[in-house]
Amino acid sequence: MTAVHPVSPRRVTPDRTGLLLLIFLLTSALLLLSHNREWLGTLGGVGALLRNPIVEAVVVSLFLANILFAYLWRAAPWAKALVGLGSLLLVLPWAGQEDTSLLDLSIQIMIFAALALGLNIVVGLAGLLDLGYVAFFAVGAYLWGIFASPRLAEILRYYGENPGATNAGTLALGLFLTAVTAASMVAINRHHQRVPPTRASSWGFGLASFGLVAGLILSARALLVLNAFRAEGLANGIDPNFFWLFLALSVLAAAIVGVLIGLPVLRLKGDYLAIITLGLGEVIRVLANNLDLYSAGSQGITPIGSASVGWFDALAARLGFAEDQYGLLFLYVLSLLMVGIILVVNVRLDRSRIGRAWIAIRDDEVAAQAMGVPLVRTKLIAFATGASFAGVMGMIFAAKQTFVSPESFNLFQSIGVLSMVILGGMGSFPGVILGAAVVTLLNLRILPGLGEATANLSWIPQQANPGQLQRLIFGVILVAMMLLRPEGLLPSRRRTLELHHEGDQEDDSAKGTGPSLTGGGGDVYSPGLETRQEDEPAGGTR
Amino acid sequence: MTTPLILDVQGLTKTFGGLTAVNDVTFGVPQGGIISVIGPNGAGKTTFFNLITGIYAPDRGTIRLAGRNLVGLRPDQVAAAGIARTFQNIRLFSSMTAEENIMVGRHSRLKSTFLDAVLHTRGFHDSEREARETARIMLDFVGLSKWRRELATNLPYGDQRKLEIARALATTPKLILLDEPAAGMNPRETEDLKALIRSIRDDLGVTVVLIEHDMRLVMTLSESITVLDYGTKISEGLPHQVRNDPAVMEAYLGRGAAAGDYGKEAR
Ligand SMILES: Nc1ncnc2c1ncn2[C@@H]1O[C@H](COP(=O)(O)OP(=O)(O)O)[C@@H](O)[C@H]1O
Ligand SMILES: [Mg+2]
Repeated sequence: MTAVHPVSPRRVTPDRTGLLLLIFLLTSALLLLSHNREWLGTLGGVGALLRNPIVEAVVVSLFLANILFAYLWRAAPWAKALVGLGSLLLVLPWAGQEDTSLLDLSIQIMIFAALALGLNIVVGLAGLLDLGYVAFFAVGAYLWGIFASPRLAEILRYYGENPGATNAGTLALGLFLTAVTAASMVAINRHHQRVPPTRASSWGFGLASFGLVAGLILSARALLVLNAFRAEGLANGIDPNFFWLFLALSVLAAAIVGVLIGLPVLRLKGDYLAIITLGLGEVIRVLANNLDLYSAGSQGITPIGSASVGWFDALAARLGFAEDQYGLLFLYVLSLLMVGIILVVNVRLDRSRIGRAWIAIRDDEVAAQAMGVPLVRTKLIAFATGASFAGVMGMIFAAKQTFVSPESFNLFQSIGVLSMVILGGMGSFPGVILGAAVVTLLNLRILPGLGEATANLSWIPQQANPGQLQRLIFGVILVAMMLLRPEGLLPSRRRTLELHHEGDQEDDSAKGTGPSLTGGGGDVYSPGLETRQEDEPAGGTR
Repeated sequence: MTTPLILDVQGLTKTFGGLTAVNDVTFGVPQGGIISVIGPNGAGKTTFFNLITGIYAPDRGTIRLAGRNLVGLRPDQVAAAGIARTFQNIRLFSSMTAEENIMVGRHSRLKSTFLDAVLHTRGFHDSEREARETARIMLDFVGLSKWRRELATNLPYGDQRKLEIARALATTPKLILLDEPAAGMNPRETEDLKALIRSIRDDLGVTVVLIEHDMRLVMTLSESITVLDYGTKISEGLPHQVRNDPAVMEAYLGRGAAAGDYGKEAR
């Protein structure tokens, strides 16, 4: 075997520092120009052209492509940093000053990028097909939505009028029940690490979890009733300074919901898992639709507050932003920070014991388990991690929209995020971010721009107007991209390695060596080689 | 028996529907032994391994590893308890390099947690270094150092089998179960494998149980041989005893055309 090089020498690409800077300057100028009404007015015909929606969409896309080029091309590190940071921290906010829709679009792209990064952990790394992912996004959005809007006062008022038999004693009982059941669940779980579960201990665990839910409901209800008198003071929701606390809470809440949804479904695989998560995702949406008291049903919750940070507003004012832009600029910076954090967390997990366990499970569950990887726990961590990213972005989404309704969390959102992951390249972090940017740009700018630009052209029949056919065009683009680049726009290192070596292997097999593991199959009893789940009672299947 | 038993299996039984794949098998492995399990295809050998490693739950019987009950444990717990295995049909992690495959084998021995990984704590760096070092040692041990950064799928077949052994050894087991490790190997590779198995026992002190069809390998390597047929243990003893046992001949030769397995090399 001499044909396979452990590390293949890459084609040496030319240094493109100059080109990168040139394109950066050019697209930045275009972006700033095309979003400044005054300047456009002085340009006459060119101004009119730049105002054309489709041209505008192209300008925005080209500008964002800068960042991609800075990532992809070989160039001096300072130039890369300059282009990346300059685009995100200088030019975009500057252009956004003239046209806030740019900031809105950027936040939307970053929300989807974070969602795609979260789903990528579940689908791309751990190989668990989750079609209900947007449910976790809803958890974060509603958590903040309920507390930072007049909804909170309504709920308190309701409980004030219907206190039932609840009093301080109920709260004590609820908290006691919660503590005892939680402690016993932890204890039983510890016990199960050492000795196999017996029927009694499994039942005990089930009973304790039931008690935990009851304890939590009791405590929550008691808290609401006892605080009902505060309703008047909270007419517009809680103090905006709680924003930061809720940022943490949304992470936690989504992770817990992730575990709760994950526990019963993660014993299923592939198609079954996809269908069940799809169903549970819809359940969350239907709950939001029907729990009128908490979610205001299909009407939705509005207005939802956001944080107000004194020094940030002062800074924004110094930089010449209008007062109504502070909020959006703040959320822009916050999203940027969040995507940064999420990206770092992703990369670090990927190169750790947990990340390797995820990929091992994706490659071969039976072998992973036999090598000591606990399946349920490892999958739950994937679920909870992915969910927590969605939770925090859901909160930012609620603050940006100042409005949440169940329609923002339907199945198509989940599928949309999945398409970003697949389009960008499963398992590839830069890939899924690019996928999120491309899909969001297509849906929010390019296709609507196309529709608008062609709406009044007489030679296009009304039925065939791109504005009417946005979904169709989007679908065609997706299909075309998947046919051209099935591994995604920026495939992961693993996939590249695999594809690269598949080439090598063809050479090998031509020489009659190097049989492959993937093509092998042939394990007659594989279907029966079931993996054993962690919560399975003693003796498993008898 | 003078040496203590590291693995003690009593009355192990497993049925699939109407088929009794493993029937009341009692099996003891002395500490530091090299023991073979043989038998015609479909005799229940792989199922026997699957029972020991917790992939299947037995209908009846007990399994003890150094005195500790294993019945009811999940495969990952069995691995953590100290039994590692390879598979008859190679099951490497195909999108990972040889090194990463072995690092997964280290999973249950590493201490670093989720938070360690996110925060890049000392513990994280220590455990990563440890895993990488184990991988290096194990690759060296099975002679695959040159494939370290190569995708597992791209290794030659015989080397894939060795990589599976290295991955199993990375769990620092007390006992390793090898399911047909020589299948698909040429005679030279089989010779290498024989030395490797001896070295696993002699240099690493890991007890070895192997299922094998290559009779030359089995006869020269094993200290004791157990023969299964239709799920039942029909013979047990030293290699020459088993070779001359009429019941064993009957089991192999009574199968007409299937007799090819016995006394010849597999494949
Ligand atoms: N999961 C399973 N479901 C049903 N039958 C099985 C399963 N696993 C093994 N068997 C049956 O058990 C018998 C023993 O199989 P196996 O242990 O693989 O034999 P060996 O490894 O000795 O060739 C075979 O008849 C096989 O068909
Ligand atoms: Mg077998």
